[in-house]
Amino acid sequence: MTDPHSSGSDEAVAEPQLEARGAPAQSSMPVGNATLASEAPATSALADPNDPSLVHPMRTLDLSCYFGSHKVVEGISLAFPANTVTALIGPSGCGKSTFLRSLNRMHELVPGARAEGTVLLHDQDVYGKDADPVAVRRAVGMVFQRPNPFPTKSIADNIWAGPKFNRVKGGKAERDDVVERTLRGAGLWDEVKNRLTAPAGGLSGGQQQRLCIARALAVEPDVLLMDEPCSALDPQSTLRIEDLIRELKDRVTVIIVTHNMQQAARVSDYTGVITIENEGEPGCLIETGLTRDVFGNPKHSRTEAYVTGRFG
Amino acid sequence: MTPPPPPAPPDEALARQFPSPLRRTGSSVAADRTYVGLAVGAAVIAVAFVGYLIWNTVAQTGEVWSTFGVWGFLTGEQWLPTPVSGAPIFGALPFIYGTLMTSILALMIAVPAAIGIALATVVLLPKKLRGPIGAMINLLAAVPSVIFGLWGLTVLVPFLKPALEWLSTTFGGLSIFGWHPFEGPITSGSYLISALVLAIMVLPIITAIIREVLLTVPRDQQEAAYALGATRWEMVRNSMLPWARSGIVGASALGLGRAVGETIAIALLLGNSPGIFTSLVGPGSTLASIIALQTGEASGLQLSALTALAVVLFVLAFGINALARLLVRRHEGGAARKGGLVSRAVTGIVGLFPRRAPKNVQASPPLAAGAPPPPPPRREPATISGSESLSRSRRVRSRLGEGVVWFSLAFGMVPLILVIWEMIRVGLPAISGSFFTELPPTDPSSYAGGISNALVGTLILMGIATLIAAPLGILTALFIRDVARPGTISGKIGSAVGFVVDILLGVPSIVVGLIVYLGVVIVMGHFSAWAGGIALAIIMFPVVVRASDEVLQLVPQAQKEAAMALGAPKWRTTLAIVIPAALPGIITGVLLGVARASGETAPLLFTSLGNQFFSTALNEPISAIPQLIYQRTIQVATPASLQLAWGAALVLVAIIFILNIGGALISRRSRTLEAR
Amino acid sequence: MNRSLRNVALLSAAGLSLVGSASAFGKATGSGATFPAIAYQTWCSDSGLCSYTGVGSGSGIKALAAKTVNFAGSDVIMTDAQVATYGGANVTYVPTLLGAIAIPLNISGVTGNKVKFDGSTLGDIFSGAITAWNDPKITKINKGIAFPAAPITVCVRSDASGTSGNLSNFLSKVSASYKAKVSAGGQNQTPAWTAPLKQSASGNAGVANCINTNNNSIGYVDLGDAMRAGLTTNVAAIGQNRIVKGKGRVMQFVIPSTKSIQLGGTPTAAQTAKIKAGDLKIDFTASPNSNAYPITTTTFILVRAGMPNNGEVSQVLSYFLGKPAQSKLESLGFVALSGALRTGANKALSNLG
Repeated sequence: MTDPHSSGSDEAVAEPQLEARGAPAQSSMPVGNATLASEAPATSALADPNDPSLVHPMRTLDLSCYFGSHKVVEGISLAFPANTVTALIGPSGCGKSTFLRSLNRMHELVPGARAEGTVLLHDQDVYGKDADPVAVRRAVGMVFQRPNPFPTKSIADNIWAGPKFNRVKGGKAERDDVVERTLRGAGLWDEVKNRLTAPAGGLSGGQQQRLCIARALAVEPDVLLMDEPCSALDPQSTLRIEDLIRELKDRVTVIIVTHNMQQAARVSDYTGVITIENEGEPGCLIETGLTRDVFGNPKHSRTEAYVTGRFG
Repeated sequence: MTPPPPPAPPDEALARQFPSPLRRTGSSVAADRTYVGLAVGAAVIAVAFVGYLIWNTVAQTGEVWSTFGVWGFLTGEQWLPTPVSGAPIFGALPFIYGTLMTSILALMIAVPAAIGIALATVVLLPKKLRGPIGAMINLLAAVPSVIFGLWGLTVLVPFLKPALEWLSTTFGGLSIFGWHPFEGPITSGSYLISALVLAIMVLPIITAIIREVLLTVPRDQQEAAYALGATRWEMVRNSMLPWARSGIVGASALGLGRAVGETIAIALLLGNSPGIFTSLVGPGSTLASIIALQTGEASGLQLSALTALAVVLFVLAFGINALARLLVRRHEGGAARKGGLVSRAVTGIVGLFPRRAPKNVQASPPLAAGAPPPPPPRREPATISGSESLSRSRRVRSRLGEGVVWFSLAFGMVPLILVIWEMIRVGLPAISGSFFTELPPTDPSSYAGGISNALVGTLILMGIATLIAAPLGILTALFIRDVARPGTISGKIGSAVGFVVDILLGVPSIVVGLIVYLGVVIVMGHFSAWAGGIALAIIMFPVVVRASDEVLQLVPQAQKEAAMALGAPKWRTTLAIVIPAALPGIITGVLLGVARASGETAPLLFTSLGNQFFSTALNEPISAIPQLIYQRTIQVATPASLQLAWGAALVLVAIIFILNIGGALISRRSRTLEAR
Repeated sequence: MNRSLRNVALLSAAGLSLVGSASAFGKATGSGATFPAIAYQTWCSDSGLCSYTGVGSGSGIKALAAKTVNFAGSDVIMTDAQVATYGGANVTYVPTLLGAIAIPLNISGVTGNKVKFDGSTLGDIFSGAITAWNDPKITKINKGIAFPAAPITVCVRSDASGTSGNLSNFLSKVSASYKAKVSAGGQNQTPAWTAPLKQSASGNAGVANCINTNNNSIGYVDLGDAMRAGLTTNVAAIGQNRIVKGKGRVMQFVIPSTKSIQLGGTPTAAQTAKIKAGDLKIDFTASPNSNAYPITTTTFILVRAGMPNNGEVSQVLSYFLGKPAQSKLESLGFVALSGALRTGANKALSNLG
């Protein structure tokens, strides 16, 4: 169980404006620490991810997460701009993974777990009365901490699993097309094209994780959630995945939870920092903004402590 | 800095996906509902049907309670269906006494032997031998009760009679508070021989649990003893046994629960003479055996009284099992999986799906409260290093300890070998092609004929039982593990269903036979293959549920999450991910259930009844191999009919062994697949 | 994986198709008493007309009441409670054969069929009034036999049985202690045996096995089963009637044989009159004929009036009562019907159709 505490005063969360779907705004925000964010694609991002002028395929309003009566995440409101990568960082047990899992309603699969608040996928409430969790998960893909391909299924069958679950009726041609396209998209095609019928369990860890990403993409989600996708991988594989993430944002909006500061700095456009004040209290969002700002010019002292490795 | 790619114009970029409907098609939702409905329906139907049978059974006992009173019946010392004068009298006490006496004597033999065998197969035997010998002991559990009865009657009783005579002449005068346990004369049916056979029968289940408990003894506990200079035996004595104590007590209680329900072997071996504090070399009677012998012909108050005995037996077995679960669970460490070990042991799946020892077991002793702290190593005077460092008495004690272990290992192995030997010696000559195609001879002195009707009957009964129990059992397990959500109403229903399944696991099979007799045979008006199949299904059902539940828990959560995250509906996740991963285990569970049910005689006595002819009609009495053995043993005990019985026993044991080994192979194959 | 599921389903479907095919079409089915089961089964398979399952008299009577069989076999006359289950339907009793209950012995040092009991002594043994083999009451009848000073193990049936019923009926007629302590009379299928050292076993062969395996034991077994269990070399001769010999009247002891059973099954004048009147429920035990075996019994097939298959049942019965069938009885340990009883049985049969 995580035990965070709120430090509400510092919440850098603007009131999201639901009607906002205006033109993309160019920003002239000061560029932060260039070395830290050197690899971060300097998108034409606004400093504030909540800026109403951005398109937000997904955003949360006052989202709290519980295990039974125990609150682990305290009222987070955060918007994720389209075609960007948002990293969620914070110390262990701060509830960032829980928060992530509640975005596609995976959280509630844990017995006793529930979420309160609103998650908007475009303008529909993921927790709305008529929202079906199965449909939500189809629209919001997820990649897990440990690669979890279906080990006895073939590589191709793994890719086609999602469309099949969703009863996409496709002939062999369409199937082959999806398999190739997504494997190419995940940068795995050249490595596996000659053994598409081999069981996925035979791939290396890094390949398995890229297969999982490809598998998630095959359902064509609007948003892709990644829960520490590289924590079980070696540095080489990690780099490849990070490259992949940067490419992915052309197609989907990515939200990634990571423990690795450098990784957050390398891959993300925006960063949200979630921490807990004291043991036993829920985690809350203390800072959000462009990644280079968060790393280069943190507004909150705890953020600074965290990103410089003094705690966490 | 490279100019960033401009963000795609939102309207265009999102046109494809926007808005993503957060609703599903009706058919997808309907499919989910169908799946949930099926699982809930199966669980509810199974529990409701068993509930109806039990209610119907208890309802039959009203006449007894009103005639004799609950206390009057329980303490009544006489059982007189047709007294010389006056109304019939029915009292349960002699049968309760006989049941407890045989069972406790059996435990006194079985528990030390089980501890020995468990120790041998966990530490003392060379590593290569541990597995095969453990497997052989498990095979003992697969030998049906009726075969032990047959063996006891024809081999053990004549062999041990001189020993009983010696006991009687040597200790005949011994008196314990006026009870003369060994007073002659001796009879062929006796407590002592019944208890010995019973001990052999409950040995495997007790051994299995103690084995599992010993396997959880942390390595550092063992090493601590060795590091202090303990011999292997001293390590066992000081590190392992204290650690396993509550597990051993729980295992014994579970064996007791088994022993009290044992029917056929006892009916053949105990002499069926109700009495209280009679001689142990003389006869007695038990709850299960009197039910088996008198129910078929009873009616009115006598049937009601026999039913009341079944209720007493049920309550007794339930109480003992509940206690056993409590003790073993406490050993497992409270928070550990609910009664898993007991259920696995009872269903026979211990060792098939080995679980890695949970990490916390290694870290901290699982016995929270009331756990004996590992005793300090015994103090020995420091001795000079070298070969003479062990005192003579220590060496002798260690030798002696290990000697006892070898002896108990022999106690477990010898009966198995003897039973199999007898089966081959007497039964094999009976087997030929015609053995499978001909009917049993009407003339019991004829060596011709075969068991075609019983073989086909057994297949039909197993078919009915499997068709009922396998789908209901698998769906019920899915309900408990996959559909019901802890913390919600469905979760409560799920644990209630699990509780009922656990109760069913402990119901003596003769009680199952009786409740099906009352609820199906009497209602339908006649004995039938259906009734027998239903009785066997009730025995199979909890085995299938528990085995399936066990493997469903082993399906990695990550796999399920992967599918869910792709937007797979529940039923698809179950069908595409959960069931394929669990299927080998589920098939193993079904095979074990079939194996367990196929050796049962007691539930068939007054349900499918038996038939001397070839019949495949489901509405008529039908023959079955265990029953054929039973009838040939007790009703026409000529050498020719005994040969037929042993031949049939050989066929039956072959079938059961094949089912068991098949189950083990399937689960092993799936494990190696997983490991790859 | 879907495929393997489907395979399982296919397999089970194949298993199912085995089921529910042939039944005994056009054959009369019967169930009931185990005592004559071997004869009925032999006859059924010889003639191909019927099938019979030995389940005990009581179960047979129940099954016929529930109309699940076409006829029932029973060693005993129905009790009032059993009659009530027929709801007033008329039930015909047809005797099919004669049999006897043998009293096998297993006494250390005593072999051959030379031990003698009168009814009173036998009753005392089963009631527990006599508990040791060297009891004066036994030695007085059996001069010259050295009985051991050992307790008597009494082997009895643990299941309800017509054999117990017939023995009990006999003993309650001839033994005061039995009548007072065990059973007041009639065909009591579950007598409350009061012998102190008793062993119960299921079925005739169970009792036979009990006698075989316990030294100094006694029991009661149908003659046929005693034959098959090899017990007929040591059975008791039973005394019922005294004959004039020399100065006084001495007890005549009889062992079961074809001849003595035949005599035992010969109706007395009063019984003949009863048979002529159409009542075939004759109790043959304790025959007044001094050469008759006193524990001679008969067994019945019960037919319920107004059942649709009674034509077939009557065919079955006419085969059972015919010469080929009856002549087979001796080899099975039974004796054929003769005289008035046979005539009466045939008459009852002709009234059935």
